[in-house]
Amino acid sequence: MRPSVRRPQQQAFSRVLPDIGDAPLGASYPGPPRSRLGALWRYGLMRAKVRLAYRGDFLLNAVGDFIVAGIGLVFLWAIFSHVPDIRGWSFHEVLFIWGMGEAAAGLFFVLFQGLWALNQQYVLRGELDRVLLRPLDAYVQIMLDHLNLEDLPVALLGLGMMAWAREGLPSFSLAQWLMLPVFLACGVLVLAGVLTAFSSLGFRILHRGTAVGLVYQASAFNRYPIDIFSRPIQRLLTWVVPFAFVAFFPATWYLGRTRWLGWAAVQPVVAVAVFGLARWLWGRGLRHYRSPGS
Amino acid sequence: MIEARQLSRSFRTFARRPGVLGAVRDLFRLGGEERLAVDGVDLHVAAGEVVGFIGPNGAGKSTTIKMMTGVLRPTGGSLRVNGLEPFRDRRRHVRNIGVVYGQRTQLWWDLAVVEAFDLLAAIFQVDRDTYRRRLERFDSVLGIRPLLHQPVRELSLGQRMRCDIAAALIHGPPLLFLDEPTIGLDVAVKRRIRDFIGLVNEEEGTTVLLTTHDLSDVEAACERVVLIDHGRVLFDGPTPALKDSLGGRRRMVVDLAREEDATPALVEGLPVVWEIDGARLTLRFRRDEVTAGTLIGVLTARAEVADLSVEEPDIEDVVARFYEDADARRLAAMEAR
Repeated sequence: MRPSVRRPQQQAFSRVLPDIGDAPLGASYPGPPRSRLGALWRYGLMRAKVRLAYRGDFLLNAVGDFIVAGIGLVFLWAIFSHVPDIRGWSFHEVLFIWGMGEAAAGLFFVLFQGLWALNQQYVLRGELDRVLLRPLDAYVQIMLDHLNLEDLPVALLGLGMMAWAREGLPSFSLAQWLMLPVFLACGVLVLAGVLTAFSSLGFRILHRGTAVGLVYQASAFNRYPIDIFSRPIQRLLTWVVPFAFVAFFPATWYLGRTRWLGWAAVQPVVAVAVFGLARWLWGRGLRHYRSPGS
Repeated sequence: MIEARQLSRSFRTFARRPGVLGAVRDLFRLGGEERLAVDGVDLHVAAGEVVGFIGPNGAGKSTTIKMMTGVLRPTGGSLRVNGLEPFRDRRRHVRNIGVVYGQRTQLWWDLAVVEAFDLLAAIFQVDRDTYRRRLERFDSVLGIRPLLHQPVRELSLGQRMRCDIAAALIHGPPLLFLDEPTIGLDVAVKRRIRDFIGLVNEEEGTTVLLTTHDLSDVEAACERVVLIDHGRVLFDGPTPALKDSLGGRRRMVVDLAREEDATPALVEGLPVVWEIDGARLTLRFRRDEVTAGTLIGVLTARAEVADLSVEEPDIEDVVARFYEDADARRLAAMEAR
């Protein structure tokens, strides 16, 4: 009826979904997944497809986030072109810590951007209702709703920085290679845990999600060697909002420094504990959900 | 199927102070006051029933439904649906229920309808043959085939509602909640939806709980009605009995042979509300106070009656009057505070 208006959107969708035309109803359904994990996988896949369908947004965001992350690298490089080291930390050492932090942050944004949407979209506007009516974990659904593949390049940039830093570092042992993905994954968990804990405040104190953004700003500290900060800030980053576990503590092991080895060793335990506690708090917060409107 | 005993839910409310200064002062205030949105509701719904749930705005209908669907946690009383506690056993509970909100969609805004259906079928682990059979059935009654490839955000309200209802039933739940499903819909779509509710109830034995402001929905689809206000159940019984219990007045229109007979003296001593317009006399009376037969007897003895008709109370009128009273009660309560 209005083909000139309708067509662009339909084309965008047919790229995502093959047009089945007059095929029997339900022909596109591949049958039930074998497990709950399979259902979550399809959920995530569908969200990823939708994000990719908005190609303009996708590219702009991907390029934008990459540039923002790249500015950090330029900043680092600019500092070290004036000074040989910062409190005994060489360019390559800081680059490695920074890269690890960037990689963790990139992956964190791919998986956990839903934390930013939680208060405004789900709690205040009540979209949590829909989420709670599905037989899947509510938290996981929200994170999958906001699956954000655009930030994969940022994670890759972080890995690239780490690779570049290796030319000025001692070579890694096999154990170090094997632990690298574990530390990275646990770094993501620490970030996610801290921010999840703060986001669950939103169930009780209605607000637009600014707490998550503010606390995330503080996570920028995780990219610097911790001993360049004053004592109180070091304690804060270790005990209160443990961002030092995201990249710094594990990274020191790869730099051949032994002072923080104990902290590095417990990083996976801390990560699981922090994230577990945060999820528990989140679940408690859910009891206070008020569901707006009629 | 549904067992609610003294079910309650309170909310902590913060009265906002006006102005920027007030907002700043509100920032530093803790506490707030507890308001009971649902105040001791007892409700038992058996399998296969179609129950209409009505009440003025803010009566607590939606809050009750949200507790039954597992979205909100009750703060008092007990609630079991299909033997489960909705909030605590949420993930198992939602497999047994379908939910449709008239005000907002359960589907994903950016997906085509068929993608949303496929995804829901996957989430609820519906097998292929069952899924196809259900889609065919939904299409034959709701006519959803032409909509399948449109993104949800492009659907009209009526189209969206048809798709939402189909989506809520994709996993074949034995219990269906409809929260104002006909709000803002045209007559044709309304009828289609009512027919569908009846069909699902008849064919699958699905229990249906329906909230609405449209009483023609209730009269057309529900054999039982529950009226709620101030978070309490005020009436629970068969739909036809609602009018009597709320004191619905029957109406008698009497055309007199001579206009000069139409005087207040004609109705003296009768428990009626009367109105005279020329030779026409209109009486309102309650079934339990006086019968139509008595009235006719008295009137024909006092004057010559040319024509006469008796009308049953209209459920719309009855409930409208009840809502107005509820509003007045609420205002009075606020002033008293």
